[in-house]
Amino acid sequence: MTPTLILALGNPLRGDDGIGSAALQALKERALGPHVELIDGGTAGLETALLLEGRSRVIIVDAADFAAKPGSILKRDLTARELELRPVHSDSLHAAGLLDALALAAALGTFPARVTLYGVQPLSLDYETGLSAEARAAIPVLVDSIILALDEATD
Amino acid sequence: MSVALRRLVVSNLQVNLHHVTRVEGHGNIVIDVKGGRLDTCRFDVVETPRFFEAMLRGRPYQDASHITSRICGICAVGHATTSLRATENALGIVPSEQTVLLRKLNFFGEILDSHVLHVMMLVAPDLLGVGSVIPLARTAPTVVGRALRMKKLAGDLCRAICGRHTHPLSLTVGGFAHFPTLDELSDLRARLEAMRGDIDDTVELLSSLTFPEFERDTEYIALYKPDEYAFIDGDLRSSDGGTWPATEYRQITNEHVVAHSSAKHTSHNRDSYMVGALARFNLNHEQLCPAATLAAQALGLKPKCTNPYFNTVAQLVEIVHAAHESIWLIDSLLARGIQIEEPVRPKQLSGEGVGVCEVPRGTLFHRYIIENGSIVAADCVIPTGQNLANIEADMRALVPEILELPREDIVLKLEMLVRAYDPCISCSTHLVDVKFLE
Repeated sequence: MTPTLILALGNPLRGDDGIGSAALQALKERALGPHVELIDGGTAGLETALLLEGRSRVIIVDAADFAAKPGSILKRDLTARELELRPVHSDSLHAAGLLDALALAAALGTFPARVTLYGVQPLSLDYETGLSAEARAAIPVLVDSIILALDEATD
Repeated sequence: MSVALRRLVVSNLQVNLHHVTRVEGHGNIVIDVKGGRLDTCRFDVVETPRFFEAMLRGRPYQDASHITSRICGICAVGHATTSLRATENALGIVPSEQTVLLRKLNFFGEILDSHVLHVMMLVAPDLLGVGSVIPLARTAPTVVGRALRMKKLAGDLCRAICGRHTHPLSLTVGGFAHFPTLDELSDLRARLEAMRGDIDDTVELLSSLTFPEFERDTEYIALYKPDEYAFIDGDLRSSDGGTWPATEYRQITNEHVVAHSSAKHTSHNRDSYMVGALARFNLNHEQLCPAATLAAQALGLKPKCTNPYFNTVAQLVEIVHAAHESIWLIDSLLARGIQIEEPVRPKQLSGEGVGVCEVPRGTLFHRYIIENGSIVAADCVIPTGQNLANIEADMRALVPEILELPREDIVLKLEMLVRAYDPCISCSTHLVDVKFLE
């Protein structure tokens, strides 16, 4: 079976947008076994759609602005249907992002059975390296929550 | 005068999951027809100037390629390579044969990536009558799957050589800071061989589609090399006749400011000229590899082609060329073996140099003046800037021909015309707005 993909996204040069890559580092220190694959997708392009092909379970970790307290964690399942219905964000595709890639996978019929987004509310997305204390504090909770979800999935 | 504004696509500006930073920018088509006569026809570029040339001043020469590769996320390798050639020419550096081969291979990776994106994801939806690549994935999943596979391979090819495609790491003044292994090259070779089927299918698909009919002869400018279809270095050649050394590029570009564009316009022999795949094909078609020549025949592309919509077709011909030449380059590298070389050191730390490349969208120039290892002056002329005056001239000729069509069709034809040039403005803006002044 194709391993579950944990896909971290974001740009570590933009402050808390580095949360995905920091969480991925923390996940690497926990023995997750051969059924989990970790990929740092950086600033995702359309080819991200190819990473989803043949998978039944994908977990995406990224900074997400959902107007909450910095460091808050959002967990949400994404469906192929809502992505297909969503208006195309960037018609240029020269700078396509995650949602465009997911919508493309949905249209291609390769959208995995379960895709879960873990979003962390950023404090700052300034041009700087390193996370805010709030985002840093979210990492252990985030990692535990992802590992718990993985255990549920394999049960 | 009332201004009716038609927005072609409603951009979703809700930024709740999108955190990718984008450069802002915009291009507007303004058409004003009074009493059946074309009064105003402009392609407005309202992007903020980005001042890269000023950013280079005072920086050590080693930084230039890393700074200028940020001008574009699509042709980052093109900017980096052009920058390195300008610096190397200024400082008396002659790169090794291996460096030349690796840079060429890297460059082909970028040509493939950029052209596949444009031909198969940006233009194909127009020709197949759907709004964008997402509905295309529903109606023609094999086409989109093919495009994604080809783009992935192009990206992996770049990654093996320069570390990553966007903003390359290992390209450095005088050589490379990292080398691909023979295993990586062999693997890429096998994948390029396997991609031939995808390329053949794409040629077959495009040869069955109809492009808008429109002819307007213009001056075509491209780099020329006696022994190969030029992408890196060469002399400047015009379809109106004449060849100039690259150092004389300002005789060709003649940049000038126009009121409605924050990008300067250029002109040479006529009011405008065209750069890019179609210009390269028109000037250098005899140097294409045999497979690319066959593809051009299958696609009905004949020199001299004066239909700008066929720039997309010329790009596909270059996809064939780049894929075949990449295999040939890998074979040469495998036969020679990869040497871990130190970059060639500068002969001097002061001087002036010009670098030229044919990047996906056309001829790119970088010129630097370096004093004691620091850049004191820089000039970069990008392809889209050179095409702007030509896009306007095309629109002025096209609009009277299509005035009888329904407004929707006029808009689509104009939009497809701008898109045919694969302008970099679409890197930074969502879509061109078309305005009708009434």
